[in-house]
Amino acid sequence: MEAMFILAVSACLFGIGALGAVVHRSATRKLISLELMFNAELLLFLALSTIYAPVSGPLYAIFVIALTGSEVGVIVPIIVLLYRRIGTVDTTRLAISERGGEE
Amino acid sequence: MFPSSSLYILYLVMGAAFTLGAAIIALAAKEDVYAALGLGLVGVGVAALIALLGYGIISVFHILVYVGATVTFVVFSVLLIGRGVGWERRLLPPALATAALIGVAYFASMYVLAQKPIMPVNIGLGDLGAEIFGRHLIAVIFLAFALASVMIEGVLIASKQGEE
Repeated sequence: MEAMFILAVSACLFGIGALGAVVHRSATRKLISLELMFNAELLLFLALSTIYAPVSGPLYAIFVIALTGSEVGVIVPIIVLLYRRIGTVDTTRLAISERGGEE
Repeated sequence: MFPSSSLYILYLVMGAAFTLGAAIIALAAKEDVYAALGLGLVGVGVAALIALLGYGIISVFHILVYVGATVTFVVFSVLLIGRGVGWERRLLPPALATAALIGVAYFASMYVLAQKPIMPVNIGLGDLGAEIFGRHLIAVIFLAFALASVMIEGVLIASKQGEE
């Protein structure tokens, strides 16, 4: 029962993250939404690892959490650089400014 | 693990409600700072659920590394960047349908695996440390190199002036 409950929570969290990643225009909000999806996956992974891999599951979780920290450490400076170059983090204006630069 | 199974389920439900509420805050907040703080609350809620699964050490690691470092990094960068740029109102109906489909597909794809009941486990720090540094030492070294290179890369990217 609990695994199904965790799966339902994880699916809701994943759906909320997907919704945010689609509707928000800001790169930081898209990153936050993708992080929500990561949290959903991590929760389900650990719930399933209690059933299928009680010892090796948490090891992978530790590596995944640390790698997510490094991933955010790359994406956030890219967003800051984007803001310093074009003055906004609006992803819909990113393509427009690129086209404008070519003209 | 707990005195009674119903108490355990109550804690699970409370943790899930907290996590989903924080996710909705992160999704619907008008200011990016509140969205980032909502992400931090989601991290705390997920850590609580992980602790209820029996992985107390992973829960502490998630709070220290994810909430304590990653989310704090996002919050400070959002503070540097300033106000957000809003969202696409015209995309809301198709995005809602897409998100619902993604959620259902996610649930359906994992449904078979989640048929069995959870067995809360209890792994000690010594066992976990012996497993990591005994059998996965190469992966730890690679992870350390990856984190160090990412730190240098992040500093280099952020310190570049707006050329061109």
